[in-house]
Amino acid sequence: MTVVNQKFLKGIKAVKYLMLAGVVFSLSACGPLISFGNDGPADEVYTLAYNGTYSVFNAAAPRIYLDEPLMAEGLASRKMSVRLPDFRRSTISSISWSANLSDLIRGYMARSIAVKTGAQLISEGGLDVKVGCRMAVNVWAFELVPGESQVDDKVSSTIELTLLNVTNGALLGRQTFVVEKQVNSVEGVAIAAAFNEAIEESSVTMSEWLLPIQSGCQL
Amino acid sequence: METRASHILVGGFVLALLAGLVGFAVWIAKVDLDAEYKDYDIYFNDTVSGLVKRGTVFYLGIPVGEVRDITLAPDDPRKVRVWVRLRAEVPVNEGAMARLDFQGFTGVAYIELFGGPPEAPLLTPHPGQERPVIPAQVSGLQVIFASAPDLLDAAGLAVAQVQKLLADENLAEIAGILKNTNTITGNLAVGTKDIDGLMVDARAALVEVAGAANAIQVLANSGNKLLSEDAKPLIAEAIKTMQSAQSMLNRVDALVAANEGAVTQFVNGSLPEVSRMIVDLRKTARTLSRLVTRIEHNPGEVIFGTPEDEYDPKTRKQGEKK
Repeated sequence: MTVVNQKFLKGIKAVKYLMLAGVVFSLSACGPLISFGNDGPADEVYTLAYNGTYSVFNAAAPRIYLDEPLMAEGLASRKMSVRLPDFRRSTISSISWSANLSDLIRGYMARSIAVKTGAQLISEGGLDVKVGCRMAVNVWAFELVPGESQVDDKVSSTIELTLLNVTNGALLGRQTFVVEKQVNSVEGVAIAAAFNEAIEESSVTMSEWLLPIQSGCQL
Repeated sequence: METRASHILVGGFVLALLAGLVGFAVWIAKVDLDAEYKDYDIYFNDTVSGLVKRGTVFYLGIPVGEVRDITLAPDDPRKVRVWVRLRAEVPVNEGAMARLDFQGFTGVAYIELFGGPPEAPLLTPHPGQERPVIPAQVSGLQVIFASAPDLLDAAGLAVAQVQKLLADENLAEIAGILKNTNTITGNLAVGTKDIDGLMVDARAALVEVAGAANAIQVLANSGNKLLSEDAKPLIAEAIKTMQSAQSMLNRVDALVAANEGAVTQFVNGSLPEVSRMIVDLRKTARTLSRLVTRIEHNPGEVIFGTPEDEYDPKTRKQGEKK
């Protein structure tokens, strides 16, 4: 008799748990309790892609630590900035960078300038590498500048480089590189292409500037 | 008839008279038939004017011989060789000197000899010499006579200078100086009162100087006291501190020496990395500060972002999208 009653009570408990689980599933099926709204369609994501080769190791080459760029006017984000008239600024809707813009610029410069000059540019991940110089990067502008009409649209890139010998604190050089490229269409791909052309042209002139003074970074 | 005895007597008398005359002459001439002589040569480097043959030779003032001959030296025409003959007992030894002297400024020249040391050997002729040679020395009168022309020139020059000095214009200047001196002494006599006042002021100044010196002495004593008493513990403490610092530096030096490789690696490799890390930390701190400020002002903005109108390149307008 006692054994029959105990089995009955255990069966009632199991039914209770099943009913509770059923209620929870029923509520969850009604939709999210908290909504963050609708973000709309996903952005098109672009990058700054260097299409050249990778640098080769040369122990005798000058070693330069490429500092993380200091981004002006809120450029350090994944959104593409726009400079509008009357001192207004904005970001381009529906398109964005694949990573923080400062990381993209730093990576592009590290690869491009290293290949063009032969110097060993140490960037993120180059900890404990003894270097002769540090190159500070200030990005004053890297933005879309709309014109009166679409044909007047352009992207503007203004990057300042400062080369400093870390062994004696000597300032080896400082130069600002300004490049503007026309945007061929209103599509995101055209805007991204213009940005890529601007950074490529900047890296060429940066390499030409660095070549004669990089010997000051020799260890 | 003739007498032969008277002729013999007269002849004998005449012979005796002649012999007496000869003896008398010898006695009168003081001819020392037994005397012995020695000849010497003396070479003078200068003139021997006044000296004549048969001139007297003195030895310390005693006449001991005579000049036999005066000629030029056979091998040197600048010298005069005087041949003298002295009595043999005259001790002419090594070190003896001969000097040409005069009897007064206008007297006759003679040769004076001075002996050498008693223990010195007698003078003998050297090989190649005909007679022993007595060295000659210059007499004082010779020096005077030699330098007399120069002395006269100098005296004449001095007289000329004195004449220039005592020229009329200089005498006028000296008269002016004496006149000015007279004026100064007169003013000095008149200004004695001012000098008295000056002396009073000087005395007062000296009193003040004495007071200042006393004050300086007191200050120096205070400084000495400060150094000897008050500063002693301070100096001892400073020495102790320096010793501790020295000990610490020694330990640091030993530590660095023992870990030279690691220290070098740290300085060359890790220190620049620390510099980069500081830059990154500074940047991170700024970012965190901005983030905290935004959270304080509007926490929702941090989560949902800043509402802004994005730019649409296709419409060339800023849309409504947040």
